[in-house]
Amino acid sequence: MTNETAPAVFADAVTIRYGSKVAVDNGTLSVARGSVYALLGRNGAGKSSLVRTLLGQQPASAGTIRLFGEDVWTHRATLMERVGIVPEDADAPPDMRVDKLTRFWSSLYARWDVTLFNERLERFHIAPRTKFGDLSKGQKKQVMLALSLATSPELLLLDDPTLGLDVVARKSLFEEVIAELADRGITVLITTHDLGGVETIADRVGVMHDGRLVLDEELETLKSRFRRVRFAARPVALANGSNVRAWGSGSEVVVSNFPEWNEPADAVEVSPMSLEEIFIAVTGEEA
Amino acid sequence: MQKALAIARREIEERSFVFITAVVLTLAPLLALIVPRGTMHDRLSAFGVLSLILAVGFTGGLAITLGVSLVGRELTEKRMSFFFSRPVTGAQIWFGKLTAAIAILMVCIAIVFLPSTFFYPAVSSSWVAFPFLISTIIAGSLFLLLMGHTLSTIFRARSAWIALDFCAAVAFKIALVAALVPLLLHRAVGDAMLVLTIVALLFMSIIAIGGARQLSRGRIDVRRNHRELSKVLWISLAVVLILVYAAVLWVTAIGPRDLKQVWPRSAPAGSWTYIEGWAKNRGDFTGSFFYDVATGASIRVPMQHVWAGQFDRNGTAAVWLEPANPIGLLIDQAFSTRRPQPMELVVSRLEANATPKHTGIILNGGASFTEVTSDLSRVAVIAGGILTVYDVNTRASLASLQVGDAYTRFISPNTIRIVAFTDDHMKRAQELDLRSRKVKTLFAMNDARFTMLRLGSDDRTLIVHTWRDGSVPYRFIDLSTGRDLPAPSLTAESSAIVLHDGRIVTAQPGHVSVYSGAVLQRDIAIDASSPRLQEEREPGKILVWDTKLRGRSLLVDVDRGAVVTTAKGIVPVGPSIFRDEQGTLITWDGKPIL
Repeated sequence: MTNETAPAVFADAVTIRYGSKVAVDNGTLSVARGSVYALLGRNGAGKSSLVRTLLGQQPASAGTIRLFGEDVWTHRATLMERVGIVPEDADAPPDMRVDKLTRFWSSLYARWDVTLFNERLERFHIAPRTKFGDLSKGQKKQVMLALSLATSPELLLLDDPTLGLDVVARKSLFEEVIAELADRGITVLITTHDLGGVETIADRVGVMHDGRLVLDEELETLKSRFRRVRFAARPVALANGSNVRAWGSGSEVVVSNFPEWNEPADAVEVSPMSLEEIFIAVTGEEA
Repeated sequence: MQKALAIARREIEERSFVFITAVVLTLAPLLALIVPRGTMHDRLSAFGVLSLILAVGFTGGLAITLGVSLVGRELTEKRMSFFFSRPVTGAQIWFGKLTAAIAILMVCIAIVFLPSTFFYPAVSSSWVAFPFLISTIIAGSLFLLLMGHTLSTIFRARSAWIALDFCAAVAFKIALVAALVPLLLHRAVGDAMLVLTIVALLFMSIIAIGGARQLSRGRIDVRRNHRELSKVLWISLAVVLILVYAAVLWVTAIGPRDLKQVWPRSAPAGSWTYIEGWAKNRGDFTGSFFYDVATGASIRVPMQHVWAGQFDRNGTAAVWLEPANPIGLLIDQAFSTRRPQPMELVVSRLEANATPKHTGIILNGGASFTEVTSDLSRVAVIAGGILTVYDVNTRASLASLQVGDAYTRFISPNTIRIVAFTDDHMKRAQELDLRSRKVKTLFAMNDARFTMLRLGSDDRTLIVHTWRDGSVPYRFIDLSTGRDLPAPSLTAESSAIVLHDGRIVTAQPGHVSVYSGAVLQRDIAIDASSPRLQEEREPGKILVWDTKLRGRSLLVDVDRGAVVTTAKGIVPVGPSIFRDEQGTLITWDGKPIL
């Protein structure tokens, strides 16, 4: 596989340890160029550790990570020219004004589009002379997104971009991403708790649970194989199924192999599941 | 480079408030000028002093603050990802931040010291060493900046590596001081300071370069940053230590023949001498040896306060002091405790390939006088005005006596003569019997005039020479009776010695006279207008030095009544050692000693 055809992100058997604690255990994932990959998981599932390692900010304890076919730990500085990042906590210096932040950005990136940035800033109604620390949480994310997109990235990494945002800001953020995706066809890796938001844009989904990547699949395939089936009574055919639970006077079961599944005669309802419902079914917990 | 400068510019912008603080602190001392007290000169002086204190304090504080927050604060607050998410290398981040910190520091120094240099030349001109002061402040502030960064990185990590750092720091300090001890034992304070300065500069370079590796490898992880910096720091400092030890080894490896400017002191008899001096390219290191003029053999010793008593009377043995507890000496040097350090008496025969014997006899501090018997069985030590005689083999103290300012001579291993001078103008010659531990006063006099008491080579006679007394400049005392011996009448121009057989030899302009008591036995004509008797080098052969005619040394055989040898144009620099017109150290007969 040449660097030109290599996936945008490729993590192979990555393990990340902090002393005796294992944050990521033997995780393998691949993000194809031009796709949107949603990495899901609860707090502490290992998403942030994996993201930091994917960006070459910390080394993996084991395994390899490549961005565009190149080792990210070794070639981090060069690779970051092609990567836009909207971090979970906007980390720009709080005393720095947005216009100075812009000037600083422009001196670091070869592909800096000031027009694009100014347009976006204007659309967000953010004054350039505002100190970064004085912006609201949503505005900070918007500025970081604008800065990232103005560098014409080939990979956009959004680390929990909707955390702490209100519904409007959240919707706006996803619309920005979707618009940008439509315009440029860039690769997006997004970690989020906002399963509803990401469901409309993701091509592929990975679910982390207790440091392990328990699911890594195309979203359409995933959704096609999960179904909720309801019965008027406890189904005889599903003896002792652990995923059978009460539903009113009847019962309910989630099946993860729906296409091969022979629908029982006593099933009263078979319905598709949302990403959030699948997530709960897979992890056994709320996102 | 461009990216590093972009980071530097951003850092300077973020800390620009520091410049305002510097200006305020610069102007604050102006208040001293409007205080309605004292003359204008007093106020200017107050302004100058206040400016200096504030400037030094501010500069030091700023250097530490900048160092502590160079990357440490962002690491702790997990904000380094701001830089590491950008297309910049760890080295660019580090050098950008370091450049900014140094630039801020230098600009602030320029601001806070501006009044001292320009506005009040009357005050600043009184600071003779002002450029030196500024240079020191700049160097010191850079040191504090980098030290602040180091300590900040270490302590912010809060990891177990701190214990290793502490151990390494203590070990480094001990090893460094240990490396300097050989220099300090030879009074090479300048060399030691040079080594410390170079080590400080290397430390600063290590941190300045090591910071780049720290960030390149440690990136956003504060503990990993700490580990990487510690690795670079201690490995580099270990190399520095090796270089320091190599340099010190090279400096101290000189032999007697490397000495270029030599101060010698020869033994009262024989061919051994104690020499010390500087060598080429060794700074102020003073090499010190016992050296055999005849064979070229040498024994390396720490630099001594040279007293005649270091040799035995035959010139075949010597005693000296060496630090007994190097660790204690290290601590003393490191923390300047200035406590008396335990010193061990070391004795040695003066012969080729002799192995010095460490006696295990420990003194608390130094000694004003030491003497050893030729058989190395006894050592006499005068320290703090107290004479103690030790048995070398058993380390036992055989006797102890309050003597004041004194010197001794072993007549035998069990009998020691003491010549003592006390503050009340008393001068005494005493004899201590080590078996009975009894002290017998052989002679005593009370005279406020400057008087020398010399024990004659025959061990029976005491020569009393009182200055500024033209009538009786010399007296010869029989130590067995304490009475004056019949002696020739001598003038102030005369010099006199007592030979090993008890005969008295005097030297006067144009001749040397040999007496048995007061009876003239022989008068020998010599070509010397101002002769001074040096010593009896061999039985019956005396050394005479003529102070006129730019020096002339004569060996006179008093039994044959003839001048054996004459050497011209030389001056004595120690008993039986002379310096010729070219500055070469030679023996009385003109042979070079090195």
